Amino acid sequence: MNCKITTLILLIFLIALSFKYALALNFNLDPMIQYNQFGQPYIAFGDNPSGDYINLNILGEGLTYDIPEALNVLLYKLEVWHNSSQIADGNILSINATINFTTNVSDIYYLQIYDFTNSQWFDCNFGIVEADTPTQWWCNITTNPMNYNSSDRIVRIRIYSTEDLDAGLLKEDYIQYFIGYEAGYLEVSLINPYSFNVIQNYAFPINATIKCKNGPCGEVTGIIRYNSSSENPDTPISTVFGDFPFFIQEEPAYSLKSCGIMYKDQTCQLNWTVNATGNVNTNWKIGVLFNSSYPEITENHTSNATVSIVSCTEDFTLSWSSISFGLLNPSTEKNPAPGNENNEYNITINPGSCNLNLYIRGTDLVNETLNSKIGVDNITWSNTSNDYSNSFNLTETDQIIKLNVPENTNVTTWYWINVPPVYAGYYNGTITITGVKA
Amino acid sequence: MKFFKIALLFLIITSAKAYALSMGSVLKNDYVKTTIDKSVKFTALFWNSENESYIVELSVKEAPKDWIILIEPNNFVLNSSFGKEYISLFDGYVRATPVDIIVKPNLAKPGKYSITIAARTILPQSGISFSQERLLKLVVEIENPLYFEETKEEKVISNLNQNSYEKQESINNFNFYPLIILIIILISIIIYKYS
Repeated sequence: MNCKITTLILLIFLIALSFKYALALNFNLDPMIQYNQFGQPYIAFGDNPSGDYINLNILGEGLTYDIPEALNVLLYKLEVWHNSSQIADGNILSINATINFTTNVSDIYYLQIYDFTNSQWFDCNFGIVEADTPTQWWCNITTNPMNYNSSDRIVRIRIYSTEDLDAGLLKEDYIQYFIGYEAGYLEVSLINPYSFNVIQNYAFPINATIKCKNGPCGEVTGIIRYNSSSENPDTPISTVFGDFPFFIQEEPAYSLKSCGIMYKDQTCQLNWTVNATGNVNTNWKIGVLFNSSYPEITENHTSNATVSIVSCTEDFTLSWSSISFGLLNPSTEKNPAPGNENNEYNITINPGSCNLNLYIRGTDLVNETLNSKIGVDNITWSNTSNDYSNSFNLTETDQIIKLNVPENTNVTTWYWINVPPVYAGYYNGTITITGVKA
Repeated sequence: MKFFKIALLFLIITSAKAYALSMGSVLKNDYVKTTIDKSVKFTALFWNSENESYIVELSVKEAPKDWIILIEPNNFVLNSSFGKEYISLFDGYVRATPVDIIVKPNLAKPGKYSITIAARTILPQSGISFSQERLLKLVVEIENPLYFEETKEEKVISNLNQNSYEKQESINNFNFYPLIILIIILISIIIYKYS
C-alpha cells in the first residue's frame, strides 16, 4: 500500500516538472548563446545584454543556433598567421612554438599549427582567454614533427578567436620557436691514396671531400696538417714558400679553406697543392681537419695519408717501341727507318726525373729458322739530324746518345739499316736505350 | 758464294704496331750503413704510365764477390693498372710496383761497396724491338769497429781448431802406422809359408 502511494507521488512530481519546463520554453525566456571552455555553444536564460533577439532551435541532444540574416548582426573574428623560416633542414625531432599574448576582451581562442603533410591544422591549445591577462600558449610537437615543416623549411602557426559578437584587440608580445633537430655530421675523406710517394721538391695534390649529413652543418672549414711533433697530423702545413718539410704551393696560399655554409646532403671538395721539401726517405702523415661553425657539430678528421719523400726519378718515355723497315732488298744501304722523316723517334725525359745520361746499344738481327743474321753494326743511328752521313754504327756496347739531359726534354733519334746479302726472311733484334742518373 | 746466289733478292724486316714505351723508376733508398754479416734491404719502385704492358727483368750487374743479393720480384709485368704503391707524378697518382733488393755482405772489410742492379723492359715484337734499361746503383757501407778484434778472435778460434786438428791427425797417424806394419808382416808370413 505504501509502495503504491510513493510511486504515485513520484509520478505526479515528474509530470509537474515536465510541465514547468514546457511552459518555460513556450514563455520565451530571452536565451543567450554562451560557450563552454571547449568553444561549444550552450544556452543561458536571462536578459539579453545586446538587446538583439536570437531564435533557438533544440535539435535532439545537440544544440545549434541560427542567426537570421535579416537581423544584420555584426560578428567578429580575429586571426593571425605566422610563417616562420627555420634553418634545421635535417631531421627535426621536435617543434615548440610558444606565443605570449594579451587581449582586451575575454574570448575563446585557438592556437593551431599546420600539418603540411596532411594539409590540415592541428589544435595546440584553445579556450577562454581572460581580458588583459598575459597568456602563454604553445604548440609542442613531438610526434611526426617533420609533418609540420614545409619543404622550404617553414613552420606555420595561427591563433584566432571564435566568431562572435565580441570585438577586441590581440597583442602578441613575442613568439619563440624551439626546434629540436638532429645535429649535422661531417663525413670527410681524402681522395688521395692513403699511402703514396712524392718526389722531393715537387708539388703534389691533396684533395679532401666533405658531406654534410643528417642536418645543417653551418660554415665548414678544412685545414691541412702534417705530423710535426707527434704520430698524427698536428700542425698546419706552412704557407711560406720553401718551408720544411712541406709548404702550400699556391698563390695565395691558405692552409685553412672554407666550404661556405653547408646544408644537409651537400658536398664540398677542398684542394691543396703541396710541395715536399723534406728529406729523402722520410715518411710523414698528412690529413685534413674539418670544423663547423656550429658548436654542437664535432670536428672530424680525414684518414691520414702516409707520404714518403723520394729523390728525383729516372723516368723517360720512348715514343715508339719498335721499328719496321718494311720490305728491303739485300745488298742495299742507307735504308731509313720510316719514322725518320717525321722525327718520330723521340726520347722524352719526364717531369720529376733527374738529369739522365742516355746510352744506346743493340744486338744482331737474327733469323733463327734460317740460322742467318745481320750484324748489329749494319744499323746506324744519329742523335743530331736525319742525315745518314752523321750517323754511327750501332754496337753491342753502350754508346752515348746524350749526357746530362734534364727533365721535360726531347731527344730525337734517327735510324738506318744497311742490308747485307742474306736469306730473305724475318729478322729480329733489340735496341736498348739505357738511362742512368747523371 | 753459292750461299749468296741462292739467297733471295729481298729481305723483310717487319714489326708489329709500335707503342710508346715508358718506364719510371726510383730508389727509395740507395745507401745503407750496416755491420758485417747483417742483411740490408733496398726498395725500388717501377711504374709504367703508358697503356701497353711489358715485362721488367732485373739482374745483378755488379756486386762484390760472394755477396748474396736477392731481388724480389726479379721478373714481373708492369702496367699502369697494377702496383702496390702509388707515386705522385705531374699527371696525377700512378701505381708503382715495389721491388725489394736484399743484400747480405759476406766476408767484407769495413768500407763502401757498390752494387749495380740492371732493370730492363721486355716487349717482344717482330723486327727491331726497343727496350729501356735502368742501372740502379746501391751503396752498402760496412762499419764494424770490432772487425779486427773479431778477426783476432776468429784467428784464436782458428788456431785452436788447427791445434785440435793436428792432434787428431797425430792420433790418427799413431794408430795407422803400426796397423800398416802389422798387415805387411802378416802378408809377408803368408807369402813365405805358401810359396
